[in-house]
Amino acid sequence: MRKVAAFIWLVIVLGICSIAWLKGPSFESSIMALLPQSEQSPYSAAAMQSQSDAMGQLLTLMILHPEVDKARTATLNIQSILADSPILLEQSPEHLQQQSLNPKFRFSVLSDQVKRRLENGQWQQQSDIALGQLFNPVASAPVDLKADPFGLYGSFLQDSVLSSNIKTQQGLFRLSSTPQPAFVLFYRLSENAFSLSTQSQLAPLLQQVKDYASANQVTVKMSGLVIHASYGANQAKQEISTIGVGSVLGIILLILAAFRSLKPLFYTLVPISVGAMVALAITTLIFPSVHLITFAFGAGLVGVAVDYSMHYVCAQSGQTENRLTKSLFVSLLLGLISSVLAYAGLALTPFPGLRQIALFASIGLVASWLTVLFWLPLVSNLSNMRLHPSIIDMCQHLTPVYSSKRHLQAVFAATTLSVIGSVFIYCSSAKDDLDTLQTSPIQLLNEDRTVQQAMGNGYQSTFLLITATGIEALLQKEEQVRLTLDRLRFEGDLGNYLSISQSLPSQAQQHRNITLVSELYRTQLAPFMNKIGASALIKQEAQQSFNQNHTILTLSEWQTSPLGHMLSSQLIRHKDGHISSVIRIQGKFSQAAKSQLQELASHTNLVEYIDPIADISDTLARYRTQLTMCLVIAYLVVSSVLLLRYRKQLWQIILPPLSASIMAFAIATLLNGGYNLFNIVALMLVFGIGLDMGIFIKESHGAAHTWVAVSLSTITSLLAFGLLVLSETPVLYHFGVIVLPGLLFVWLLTPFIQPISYGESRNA
Amino acid sequence: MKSAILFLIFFSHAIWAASVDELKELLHTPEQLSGHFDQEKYLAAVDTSLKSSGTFAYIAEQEISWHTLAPIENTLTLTPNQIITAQNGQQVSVLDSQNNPVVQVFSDLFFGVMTADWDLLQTYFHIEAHTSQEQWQAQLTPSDVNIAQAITHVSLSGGAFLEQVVLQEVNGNSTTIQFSELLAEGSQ
Repeated sequence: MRKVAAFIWLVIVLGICSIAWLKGPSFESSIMALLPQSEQSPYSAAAMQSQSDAMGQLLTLMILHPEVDKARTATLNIQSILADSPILLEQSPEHLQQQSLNPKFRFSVLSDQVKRRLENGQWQQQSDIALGQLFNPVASAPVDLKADPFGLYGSFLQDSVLSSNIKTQQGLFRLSSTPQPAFVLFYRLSENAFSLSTQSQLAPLLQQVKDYASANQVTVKMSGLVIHASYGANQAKQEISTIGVGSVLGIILLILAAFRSLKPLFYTLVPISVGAMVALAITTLIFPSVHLITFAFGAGLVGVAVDYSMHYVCAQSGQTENRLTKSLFVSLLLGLISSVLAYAGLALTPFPGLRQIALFASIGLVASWLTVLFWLPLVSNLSNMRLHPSIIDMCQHLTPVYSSKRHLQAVFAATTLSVIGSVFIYCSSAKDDLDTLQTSPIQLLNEDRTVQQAMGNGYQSTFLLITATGIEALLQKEEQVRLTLDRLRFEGDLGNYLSISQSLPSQAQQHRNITLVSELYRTQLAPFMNKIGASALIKQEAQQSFNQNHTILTLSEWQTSPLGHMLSSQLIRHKDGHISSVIRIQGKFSQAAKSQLQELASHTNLVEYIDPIADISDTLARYRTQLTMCLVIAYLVVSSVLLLRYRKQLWQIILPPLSASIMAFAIATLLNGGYNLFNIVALMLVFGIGLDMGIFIKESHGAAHTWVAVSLSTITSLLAFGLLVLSETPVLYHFGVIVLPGLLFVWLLTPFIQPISYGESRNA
Repeated sequence: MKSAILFLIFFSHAIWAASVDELKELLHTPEQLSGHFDQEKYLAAVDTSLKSSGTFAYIAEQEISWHTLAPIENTLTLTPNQIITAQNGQQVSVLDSQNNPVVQVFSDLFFGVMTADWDLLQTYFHIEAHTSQEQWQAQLTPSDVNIAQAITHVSLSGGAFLEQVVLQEVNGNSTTIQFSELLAEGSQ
């Protein structure tokens, strides 16, 4: 019978895993995927994706040296080092050397300044400005009297985004904004910046560049997502080899010391692995893709299952008949129900990410539990294995002797500290900023910022998203929105902005522009030519040149121009045929401008104001609030279920995890100057393990083997999760900083709350 | 600092430095200078000469203003960071030279020529100088690639002050400026 049950469970596990394998698990790492679907329009999600993709693929190197020639030589050498890489495509200066837009569109695409003057009927002024240019001793833009006497094209080029801090010098990009001579190299990655193969190919090359730079006393500064991504990957690798190896070694030594055998390690790992595998399989089958955060935290929460194995192993060690006793079954069942109740509460929130974690953790726990129940009695051979007597002795020596006086003191201390902790937490505030997700050290971020500033890319992360059914409607709508932007710029609330319709006006606007220019020619050409004493022939040729050049710029022609190339990531086509454009904001962006644009977006259909950083912080904050609610509900639900069994003694089970959680939370808040989402997730783990400890001890009436079992599983969890406090990766650190003190407090407090009696132990 | 740079120039370009040194002795670079100018700009493509005249004024290291009075009224003001164009007392354009390399070069060139700032000019040109008694003449050939794309050469001449500038462009255009009625204040 037991063998049949075990076999059926094996078939189920294999079945579920192979179905999921056939579907193929797909992972998701975008933070936006954690947002509730209804909260963001599909257009803005696509826009954010395309913006981050466009940014994510760029790698920029800035090379500085006090002497121009040396900076130049260094740039050429670094260029040849990187030329070998198949994943780096150099963005050559050639496209910047071309004219940013063909001059034949000079009458249909006007600069903002010229357009404003002509719209206001300042014909004479436009003519006088052109004359002024002509009479200046050295012209800042060349004047072509026949093709463009009024300097319309020169004005467009001066306004154009391509006249930035970068100029080309002998086939290289030279920066004009730095006090030291500086050259820039631009690269586009042919593969994803987060892919490990990209990073492993790139790392030795970048190291070569750094070595070259330090050998030649050249300063090289880099900017690009791939730098941060590879830093994060390196750091994770390093931490796995230090913290990870440390905790695995610690766990192995612990098991060896306790049992003089490594078998229990195997009995612990099998249920957890089966649990995590089944959880991943079912999550894959239910959700379109599994979020990496789900996987990380879900697998962590499944770690509670170490309790079931340890409890079973410790209870059965030295027993001749290897079977599940009724009392053992009851305590395991209670442990499971309480933890699953605690985690399943997450499923009630509207957040897809939390629902996934709830499903993952609950399924994982149930599967681990079933594995312990069905497989361990069959596969494990515990008859020859005993808890080593010295461990029992040690436990006995270290465990405080229970007395009612000490009990009262402990309860008083725990309650008092919890009240103080609660007041402190109540007075502190949350820190939901992006820093909790940021792995890069500050000097790497500063280096990135320096490069971007030197290139004049002072772009805000906030942008406006305009959506329409077709390109003409889109451009007209953008021109409408730009009226507000122009006013804000004029009033000094906004530095500058970059939009598509500046270089690709709507067809309607282009026709209006040509009409405006023809009026300029009609009224101003003759007096202009008279003033400079030009011949009638020149005047005639100028008029002819205008008459023959009424070319309208089309989308496809714009897309092949250097300007179109540069702005291509700002134009997004959607699957439903809609098309969106992004207006980026540069330089100053006052609070007044922000609120006016938000106001505009809320009133105008399909105009969205998108602030990705605030969105992410906002998401983290809302997740935190929801999760806190879940935690409170979990405590209430679990308490009321356990109340049925334990009646008046319920508080003995709830008090240790509750007060330990409050104290750990207060300590973490004190250390970090605020709390965040990841702290709360860790509290769920403290709750789960703490409950198990209380229930197991209560059910076994404080048997020594139980105390040893919960002690072992607590130390194992401390080694596995508590050591994360040493991590440099913020998300992991914020998890560890709660688990470490939390589990320690539960463990220290429990023997004062419930008596551990060594006399009743079977092993003694 | 400035003397350190000059010191370096003396020893690395001994022959050239001697004549620039002579230039510096002949040419006064006052704190403030103002005067009248006559300009003739020849446009090769349309075979037309544009004549203009007006006044100019500069304050060393601060500002140059170029006030064209005939045939139109136009004021060009250069500061180390900006180029401002005004007509009839109204600003019509402000160019930030820090964000615009073309404007930066233009500004340096104008400042360098007008104030005969040899150190500044030396970053863009090879300078060849001739002196005879109280008169001097300097031939400037671009060493900077960007400038060489637009300008063939510049020649400056004068006595105590700069008197004539001739600028020859690659496209055949040329500009000749004569200064007169010069009034100086302070001396460096």
